[in-house]
Amino acid sequence: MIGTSSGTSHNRSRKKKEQCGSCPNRFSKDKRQVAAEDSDTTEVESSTDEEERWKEVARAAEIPADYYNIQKLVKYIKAGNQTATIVSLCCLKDYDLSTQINQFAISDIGGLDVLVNILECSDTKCCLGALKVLSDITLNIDIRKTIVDLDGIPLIVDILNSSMKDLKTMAAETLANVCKVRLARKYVRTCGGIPKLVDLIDIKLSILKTPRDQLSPDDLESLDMTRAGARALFTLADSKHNMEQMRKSGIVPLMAQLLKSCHIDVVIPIMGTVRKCSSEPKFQLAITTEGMIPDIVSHLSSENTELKMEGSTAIYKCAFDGTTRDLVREAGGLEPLVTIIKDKNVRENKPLLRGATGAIWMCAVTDANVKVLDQLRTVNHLVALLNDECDEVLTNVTGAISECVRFQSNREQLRQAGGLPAMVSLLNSSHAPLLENLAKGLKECAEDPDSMRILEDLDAVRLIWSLLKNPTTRVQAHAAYAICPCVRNANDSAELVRSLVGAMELVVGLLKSKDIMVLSAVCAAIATIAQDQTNLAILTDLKVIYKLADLVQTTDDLLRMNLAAAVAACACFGNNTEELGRLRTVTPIVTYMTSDNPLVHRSTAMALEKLSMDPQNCITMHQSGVVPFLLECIGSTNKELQLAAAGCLRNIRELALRAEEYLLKIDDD
Amino acid sequence: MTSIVEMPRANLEEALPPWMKIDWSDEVLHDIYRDWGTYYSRRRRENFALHYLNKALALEPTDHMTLYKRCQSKRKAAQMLGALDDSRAAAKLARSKDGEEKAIINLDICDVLYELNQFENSKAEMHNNMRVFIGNKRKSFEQRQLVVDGVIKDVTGEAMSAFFTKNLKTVSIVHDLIKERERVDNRPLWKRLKEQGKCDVQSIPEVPEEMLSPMEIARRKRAFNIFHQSYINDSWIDVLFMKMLCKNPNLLLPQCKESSYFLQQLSSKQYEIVRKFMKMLQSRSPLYLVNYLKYGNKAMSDKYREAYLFRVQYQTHRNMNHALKEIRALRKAKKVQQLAKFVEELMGTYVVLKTARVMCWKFEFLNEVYNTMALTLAEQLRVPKGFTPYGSNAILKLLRLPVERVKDFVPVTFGDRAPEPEGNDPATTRAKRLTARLEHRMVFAKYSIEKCYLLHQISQSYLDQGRHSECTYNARKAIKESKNCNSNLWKFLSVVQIVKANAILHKLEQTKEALEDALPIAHFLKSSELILFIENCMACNTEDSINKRATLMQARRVSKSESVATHSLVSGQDVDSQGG
Repeated sequence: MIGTSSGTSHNRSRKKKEQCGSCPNRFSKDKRQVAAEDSDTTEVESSTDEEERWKEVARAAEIPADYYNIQKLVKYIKAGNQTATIVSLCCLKDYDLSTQINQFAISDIGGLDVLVNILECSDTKCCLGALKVLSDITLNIDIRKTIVDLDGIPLIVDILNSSMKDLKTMAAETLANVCKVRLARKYVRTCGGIPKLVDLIDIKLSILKTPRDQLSPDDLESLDMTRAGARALFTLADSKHNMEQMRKSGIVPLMAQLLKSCHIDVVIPIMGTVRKCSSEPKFQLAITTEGMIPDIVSHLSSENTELKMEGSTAIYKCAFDGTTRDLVREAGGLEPLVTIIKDKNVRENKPLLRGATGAIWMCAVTDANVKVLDQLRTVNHLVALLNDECDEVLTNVTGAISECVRFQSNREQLRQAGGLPAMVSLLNSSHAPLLENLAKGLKECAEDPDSMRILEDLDAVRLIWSLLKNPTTRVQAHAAYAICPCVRNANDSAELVRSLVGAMELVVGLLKSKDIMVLSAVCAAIATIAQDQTNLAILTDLKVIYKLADLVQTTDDLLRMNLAAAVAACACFGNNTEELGRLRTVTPIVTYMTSDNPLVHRSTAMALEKLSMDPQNCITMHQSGVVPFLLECIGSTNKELQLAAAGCLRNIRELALRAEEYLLKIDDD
Repeated sequence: MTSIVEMPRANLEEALPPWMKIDWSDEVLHDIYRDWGTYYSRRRRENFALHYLNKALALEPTDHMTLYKRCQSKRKAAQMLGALDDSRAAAKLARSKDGEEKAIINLDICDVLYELNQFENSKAEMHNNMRVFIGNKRKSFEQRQLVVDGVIKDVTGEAMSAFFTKNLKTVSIVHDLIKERERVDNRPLWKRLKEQGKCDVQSIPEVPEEMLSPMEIARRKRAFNIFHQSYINDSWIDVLFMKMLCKNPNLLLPQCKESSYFLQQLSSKQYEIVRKFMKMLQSRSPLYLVNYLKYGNKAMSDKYREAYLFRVQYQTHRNMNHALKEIRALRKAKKVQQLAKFVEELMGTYVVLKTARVMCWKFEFLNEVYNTMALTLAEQLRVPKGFTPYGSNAILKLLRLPVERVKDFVPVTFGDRAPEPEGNDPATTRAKRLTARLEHRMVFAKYSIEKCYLLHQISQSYLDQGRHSECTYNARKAIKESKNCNSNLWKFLSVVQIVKANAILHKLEQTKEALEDALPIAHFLKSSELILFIENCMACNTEDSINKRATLMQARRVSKSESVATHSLVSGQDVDSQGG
């Protein structure tokens, strides 16, 4: 007899003793510890106080007749025999189990326990019926948690071993719902469910490419099973560990195959899985290698909004790699992306807009892609989106603009489109990623003299300078980088810097930061500000050389490059050269020449040339073994590097020569 | 400088060379001038070569090959900056004309930069050209790059480290001097002088002449020789000869107004060219590198140096002994003038160049020599036999001063700044030269006894020249200096100098005071001869005082009688007028 009280108690006692073969230590772990271990996912789903209040309100309302009818059916399942159970389960399907009141009808009478217990029986019809009911009611968050607490996951995973496709399909559908609970995702992985789910999506390409109405019943079953598996995997992909398990199980080529499908209901979940997995570098490489980009691009032109959102977001996440960006361009993906952003009808669809703008942003990192985007007048479309209310969208838009305006033609286009005032007005935002991209974009615009005039009129320099006070280090860094072209290209820039109250104190103060990127950017800013002698005097009074001297022991190439540039700029005032030598900066700076970065060599050579104005520094450099590095730099293709290295070496050599002439005093006769 | 002179028009038909009689076109003339320039350049007659090449370029300024040839010629004449300008201009013209780089011209740029001692810039140019040219053209740059790299590595190698370690202070001094020299201060001179705390009234400030010690002068001469020997071996004597020619009065005769200027320009320019080439050699291989390579083994070099110094010390010791023997012999023979000359030559030319390392008993030697000299001078202060303090100029005879050279007292007119008349006789010239030499030695004298000697000799020299005030001034300085070395003998001799100066001028009271100062010193020296001498001088001075006083009394009586006679004559005239 199935579902009786005594039977249930007996089954519970037996269940406590036996363990699932896939997770032998399941019962020995505290659930809270298990939950804490699975901390890679960022998705948190739980009941809130509002939902509890809603439940009370729902309960307080008039209970419909279906409530009691459903409870009767559950009782029949509990008390009835196998036939009665099957009939009852079929009757339950006649009700709308997606409504919460009906779901409560089942849970309030203990129906969940009965359904979970049915999964252990050998009768496939009963199991199938139970799974059908569970797949409907597990849309409820609380029911999902209850299923997990009742140890339903191992039972469902075991059903995946069945030879019946419909049974596996329903099991996968159920898992697709239940695994939205974080603990459930953990259980599926530990019970070995992921490889089984991956096997579900292994289907013939011919079935995928054949319209549904032309498929045989068996192929339809296979397709349904694949869709269910894809949905389950999509849910499981919220966990980083699950992603890795999926990759090891060979999901990548299967995903590539499914993307070629003509069945939208299959492509959507698998595209979502691709989108989630694209955050991982290994998946990014695999996606590129398996040639998924053209298939993803092909779906960008789909009429299905969700599919476009998933596809564009996937490209957004994958396009960190230059090869991927090139593949997107070669597959013609830029055009549909631009089409999406210029469509006014999708302005309210923030996920889609976020995905499309993000994809354009990433693709714009490649110069060749920018050229294509220019032909599509992308900058103008992006400027139109600067009025959007969503910070994420604005972040992506400004990021895309910042990449496009690396080219002079786009700077002019942005200026003509009126984008500069909009960007400057966004500087008042408090969203750090947005401010970061704004700083990057305005930095590029400041390189253009005409744009710089507009920025000066908009008082953008002061606003950019104020970003240095932002608590986010990346914002500070990009703001500091943006200061460089502003100071360099502004009219009467020296006076402009002095007119900003506390500006140089703020810049020098950031030299105490612990972030390498901030320090590097600030050094670049100091190198630019110090081009004016008066400002250099002020910086010297602020003891900038002492702060720079504290940083010379760094091993980061970017910081080395900018630090050397700052030293080169500051060394020429007063006795800063001697003071820098006294602060023992020469030897560490000489070691910068061991870097493989030519840019580091250039700025280091410039710094050494300035430092070599002091005789003691020349001697220290020579003792530090700078000559071979300088000789190598003289042969460089960079003119500045050549001149700086030659100047430094000449100072060292001529110092000794002049000293010798002084000792001889032959010419004085 | 070229001696090409335009032909006079009157002899145009006869003097013009054949190719100038033909009316050539500019192109042909350009080629002719260029060929003549090339010809003279090959014969290393750069003045003529430059003259003709300049004329060729005047006709065709855009001919890059002519510019290249002029560059070659300027390089031979050590005109490196001009050569660099020409080579760069030629390269630029070649690019604009032919549309490509000329390897031979670019190679010349690298060579000129190398000869300008800009090794780093030359190396950079070579690397740039090696990226442009291929094949044999590139190989030329590669070969030169090897040379330049070798030079730079040699110059900046371990030798430089050793040099810096040894001369840290000198390096700082040199750097400060260079910075001071490069400083450009456009403020008015008075403002600058005021800031420095100097006199800001003079519009043309006096440039203080640098005084070089004899040791430094000798060191520079030796450095000059060693420097040139290191690079051009035995030919160093030729460079020295060229240097001397620049100031040789036999060559630069002022009365030869036409040739003197030309010869001066020629000698100085040629010497300057040689100096430039020597600078090139020094830059490529500094002396610190030469010495480092020559004396690579420090222990061995120190050993050889010590051995050499010991040899010099031994020879110096022998010379010292010989000098002392000579001095004693001259003193014994009472040859005061020869002794003075010998001591001056010995101490001023030889000993002054010796360090304490090679002259171990330098101080003792100085004391011995100068004390012997003082004793010899003191021995001259003797009362001759049969001398009596009576008679005119007795004190001058006693002091062995020339009597016939006594000059009349020249009255001093207040406000008259006319300088004393300068003597041009050979004796005066020699005396002035000696005075200058002694004063130069005085600047660098270290020991007090040497200063006493020098001041005494300067005083004597001024006395011989008749400059008595300077004589007494230096004598007083000598007296003051003698206190530092506790030399009563030199003090006595200096006081005697004052006595001599005052005696010549017949300043009886001042002479008396000086003698009164000298007598206690003579007593302190416990020399009966000196005491007798001083007492006789005092007697002579007293006698002169008495005679002078009698003369004054006699003169007064004569004056009084004349005054009475005049008064009587006036009174008589008044009586006659009243009676009439």
